[in-house]
Amino acid sequence: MERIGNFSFMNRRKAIQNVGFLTGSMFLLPYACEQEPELVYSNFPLFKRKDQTLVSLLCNTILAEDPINFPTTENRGQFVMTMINDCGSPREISIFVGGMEAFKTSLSPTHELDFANLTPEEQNKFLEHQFYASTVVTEFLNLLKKYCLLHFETSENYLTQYLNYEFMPGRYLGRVAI
Amino acid sequence: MKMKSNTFDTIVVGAGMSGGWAAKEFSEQGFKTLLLERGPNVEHLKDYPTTNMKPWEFKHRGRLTSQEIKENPIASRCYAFREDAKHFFVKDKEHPYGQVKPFDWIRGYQVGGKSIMWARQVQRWSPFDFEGPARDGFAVDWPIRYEDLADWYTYVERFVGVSGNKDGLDVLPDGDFLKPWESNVVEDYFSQQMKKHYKDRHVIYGRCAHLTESKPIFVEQGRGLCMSRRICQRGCPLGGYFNANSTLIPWALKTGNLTLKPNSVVHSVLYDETEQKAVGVRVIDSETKKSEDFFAKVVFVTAATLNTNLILLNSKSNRFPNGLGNDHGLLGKHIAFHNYRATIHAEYDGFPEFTTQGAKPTSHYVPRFRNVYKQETDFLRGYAAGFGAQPVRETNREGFGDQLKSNLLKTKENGLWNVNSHMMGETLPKETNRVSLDADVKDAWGIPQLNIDVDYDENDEKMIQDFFEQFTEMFSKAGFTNIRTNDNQRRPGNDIHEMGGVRMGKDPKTSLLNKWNQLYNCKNVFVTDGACMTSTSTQNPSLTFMAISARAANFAISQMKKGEL
Repeated sequence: MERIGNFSFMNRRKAIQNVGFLTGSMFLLPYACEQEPELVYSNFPLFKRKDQTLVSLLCNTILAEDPINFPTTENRGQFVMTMINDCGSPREISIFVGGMEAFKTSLSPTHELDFANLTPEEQNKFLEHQFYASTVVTEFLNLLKKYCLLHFETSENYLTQYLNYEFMPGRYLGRVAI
Repeated sequence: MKMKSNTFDTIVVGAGMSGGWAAKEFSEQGFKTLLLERGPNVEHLKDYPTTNMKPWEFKHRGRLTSQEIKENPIASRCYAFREDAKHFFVKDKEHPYGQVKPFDWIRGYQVGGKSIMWARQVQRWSPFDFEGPARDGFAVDWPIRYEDLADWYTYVERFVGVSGNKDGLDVLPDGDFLKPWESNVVEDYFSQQMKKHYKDRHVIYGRCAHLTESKPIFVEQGRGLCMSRRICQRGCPLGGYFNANSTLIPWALKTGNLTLKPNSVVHSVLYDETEQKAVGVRVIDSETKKSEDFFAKVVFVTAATLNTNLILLNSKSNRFPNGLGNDHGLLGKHIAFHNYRATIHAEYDGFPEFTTQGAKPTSHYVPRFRNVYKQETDFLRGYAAGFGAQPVRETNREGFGDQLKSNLLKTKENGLWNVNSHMMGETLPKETNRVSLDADVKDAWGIPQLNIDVDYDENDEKMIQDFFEQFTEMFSKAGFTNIRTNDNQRRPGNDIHEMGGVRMGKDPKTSLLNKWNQLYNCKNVFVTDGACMTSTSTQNPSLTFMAISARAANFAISQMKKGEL
């Protein structure tokens, strides 16, 4: 097995082209061996810091944080994890658990490829394929997207500058010409 | 010694808006008044922890956690039980009750009660509403008419502040109003269309308990103008809407005659067999669970409809083995509520060149038009409806990455308007709709658990179908498109308008309260909250509870001054 650092672009591209074939496999070994301290999510006891990093990366690929124009208190990945953990329905919890594992192996079943090590273009291409594949990974990505949207659409600047939100409007005008 | 320190002129049970009114009237007129509340104190301004939080400051952006929903299947069905106001609602686990049939009992155990989170709609009842039972023969006749209450409506409106239009309708009498917020173009259009197509169907501004003008009385109360924040359920730091906490209770405390005692669960009303009247109440401290008796010449039971029933049912003596005043076994029966199951939605493309700005804390209102002047349908009574219209915002959420971001930033109103309406149907106060005490199960304070046996009936089902037919026709005549009706299957109780069980009536053989809200069989006990209602009409009932409470309190005061109570 080749190490990730030596992996050629051709190999990565081949792997990406084969994602449909690869998504059926479930290899947990590399992640089960993690020794990093666990982040505490009551519904995801096996969730590791590396998993949080992956979720954050995925969320930022789906809808990138924009701390200049749309700052938020918490980062997107942490918010998404909080929402899925605290507010997710049993079905969403199940989609997250199954989808996360499937995603890890969807790029390559033995994890010789890491999503984080793909170029942004490759990441986009890979996600585009997964979003349209109608698999458990698609459901997983759509779940992340749902909460990414919530995070973005409830950010102060989006609410006030794009949705006309006012905390204390003090008026109602019912006949405003556009 | 203890008895002396625990003796007052009057005791008021329950510090919501009905009890708040009674406490205000008594203490304002010099009577030493004890106001008991089973929940903790909620002090205006100080105890509204989320009132200034912005949407992005909530950890879950306003949503409940799945654990909260799991632990509160009943409360979480209430529209206002959300991250920002959940602390004001009773949690299912802490206060269980029996459901003979499915019933959502939504409660607020704190000083202020549900007046903190209420919907603030305040339409007067009309003469037709008080005459309803007499006209169609279902339930007993009211012992009062609109004229008995008209001045008290005005009295209450002037104190709480009601924004409204003078509409000149006999089905919905005008009141003493502050100016309304603007209507939007589609609300105006629908109103005009209904005038054009019907003689008896009106679409008016929904009168609401918000301050849109300053007056000396509101300044004296320390309240400011409503700023249309529309997060009233959290408590308003401006006092822009009426709740008991900002208005009635501080006003009464200022007199020096009110003793407010939170964390006091009323177990029962104490009846003296020799004197043949009530002498006070038994209270269980909600924290220590110690029992203590308090005494007074007059007791007002305003613990909110079903808890008022519970307290009276639990007030047993040799004279009243089945509950206070309950010689005929009617206590706890004839419960009714409002049927909110039917909704209708549509679109309108007639005003693409207009939008709205800002916000308002009310919507429009369609007063009852069925069976008003004569019986014209195969169901009894009728329904009112809310009406709202909002510009449709279109946001493309397709894709991901830069494309998604770009799509989101192009959000815009698309020229369409969403229009919607919801039914507020009168249900019939049937004897079979009742509450009773559980013979075996007691709550954490040693009080029997309440069992609720309340359901819809065929009359309600027919009314829903009629609403769908009539509003589909009305929406079609107005040119609305994509009309969809929906039966949301809300359970009884979810309307939070439960009423009855201790009904007023002309005849002591068929009712419990006389026209002054005194128990026929125990004249120094008054019931003036929703429990006293003989029928429910279609309007949101809180304004009527308040007017009845103020009227009854002033009657009791006059009787006490004459030495007759």
